Amino acid sequence: MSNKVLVIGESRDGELRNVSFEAIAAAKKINADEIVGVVLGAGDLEAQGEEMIKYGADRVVTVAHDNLTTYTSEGYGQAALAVINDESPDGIVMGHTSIGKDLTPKLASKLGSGLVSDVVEIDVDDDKAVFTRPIYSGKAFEKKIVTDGIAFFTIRPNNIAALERDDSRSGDVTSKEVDVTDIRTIIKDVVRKASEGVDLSEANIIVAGGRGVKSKEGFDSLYELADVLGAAVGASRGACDAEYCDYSLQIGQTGKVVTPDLYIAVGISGAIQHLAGMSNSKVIVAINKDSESNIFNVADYGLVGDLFEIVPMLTEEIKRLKKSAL
Amino acid sequence: MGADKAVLINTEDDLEEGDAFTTAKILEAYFEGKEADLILGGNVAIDEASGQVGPRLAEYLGIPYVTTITDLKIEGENVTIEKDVEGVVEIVETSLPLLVTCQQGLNEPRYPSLPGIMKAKKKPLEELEIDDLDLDEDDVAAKTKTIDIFLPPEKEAGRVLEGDASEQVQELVSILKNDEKVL
Repeated sequence: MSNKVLVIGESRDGELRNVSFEAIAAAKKINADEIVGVVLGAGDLEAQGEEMIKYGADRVVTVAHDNLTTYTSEGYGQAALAVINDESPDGIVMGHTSIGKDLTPKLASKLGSGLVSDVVEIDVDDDKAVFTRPIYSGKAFEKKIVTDGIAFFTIRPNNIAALERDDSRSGDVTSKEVDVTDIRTIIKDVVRKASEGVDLSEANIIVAGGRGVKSKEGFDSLYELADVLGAAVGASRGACDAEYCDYSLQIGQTGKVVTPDLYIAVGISGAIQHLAGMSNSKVIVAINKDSESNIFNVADYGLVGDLFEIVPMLTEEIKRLKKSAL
Repeated sequence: MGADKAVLINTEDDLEEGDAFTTAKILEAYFEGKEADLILGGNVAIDEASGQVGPRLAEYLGIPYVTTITDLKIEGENVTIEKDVEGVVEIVETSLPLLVTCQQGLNEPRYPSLPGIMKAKKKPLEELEIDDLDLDEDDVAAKTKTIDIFLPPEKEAGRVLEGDASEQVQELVSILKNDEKVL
């Protein structure tokens, strides 16, 4: 039985996000024998198509249109649906990102298909894809299958490793004309709030601060640490509520859910809502003056002490390490 | 909290299990012919957190939707929205009818006041079953199935590092580099 799987790519500032490559690996995991990448956008999308091939797609279909310059569910919906109708895939994968969350329920409705969102692990049992996803804010997991429609799912960033980039791979990148019209929601303006830098949801290392950081200025030392680590800065809700930083940095139940390789929690007490957003990180380090803090229950390594002393010391130590490695 | 009336669509007797498709389909049947100008929903449910019901419902009703909004202004038919997109705020212009899903920061929910609680007792609460919506089980049969639910493996207690700040920092960096290999 053939098994054709479509991977809908997602780009930011003209480059595909890493989760799109992870989605290709996810398609491989459900035993796709043909992986078709889809790139939607405006202008020349050829280079992005080639990238998808290097990361494991067999061929790529691009749809370029001025109405696809910024994402809207209607614009991307029309373009994606046109490709889906052409290809009649057996499965569709996309990242569980802002765009993935917004677009995939629409497509699933149009296709009359089930959809499993926010998948962190994939198994195949008797030719049927079984998807594992967190429920109750990560306190439990469920295994789900699609019983009606195609194997349609979104994957949580940073959980399924992308395949190794292979420059020797080649495949067709074809462009498809779609007339994208009748957009009822228009993006008038885009205001960037987070500082430029590493994308929180895809970061390998995150330095996050809580109420214990005490002020906006207190976050400066976290940014310095993040800088030497090549990390992103995040925050607990407490820190955001206290206006030490913007809500766009919030990690937790109502903020972002992250799964980095290393999570350094600084002055965070570890409320259950915060743990929901980070407890699946691979290695968790907690720095807190209160040894009874809940955060130490999920941390792999705990440092009890004054964060204003420890964080700058850690920054210096890592600087030294990086220098000696040169 | 301020609603003028409420409806409970009780599926307990009719459905063993459902998914986002089931919920959206039932809501579609309920909203059919009601011509709501604005439908407000949550961003994700606290249990399943799939975030599918809002967009699916809008799709069935043929109206536009905007998810994860943090601000909403309506002037006549015109709607201006601030939408939270991973650290970026998009200013979206659209028109009614519309479905939105709300993100934290949109409003501060009020506390129910005592007079409000008293008044609520007199407000209509309608109870429906899927029969009342001209649906039967097959119309709303789930398109996904949960085959297992399990708890994550218990995490071993972490290690609290010993010594003064400088010793702790040196040990941590050594562990992260040599044992965990994350640096």
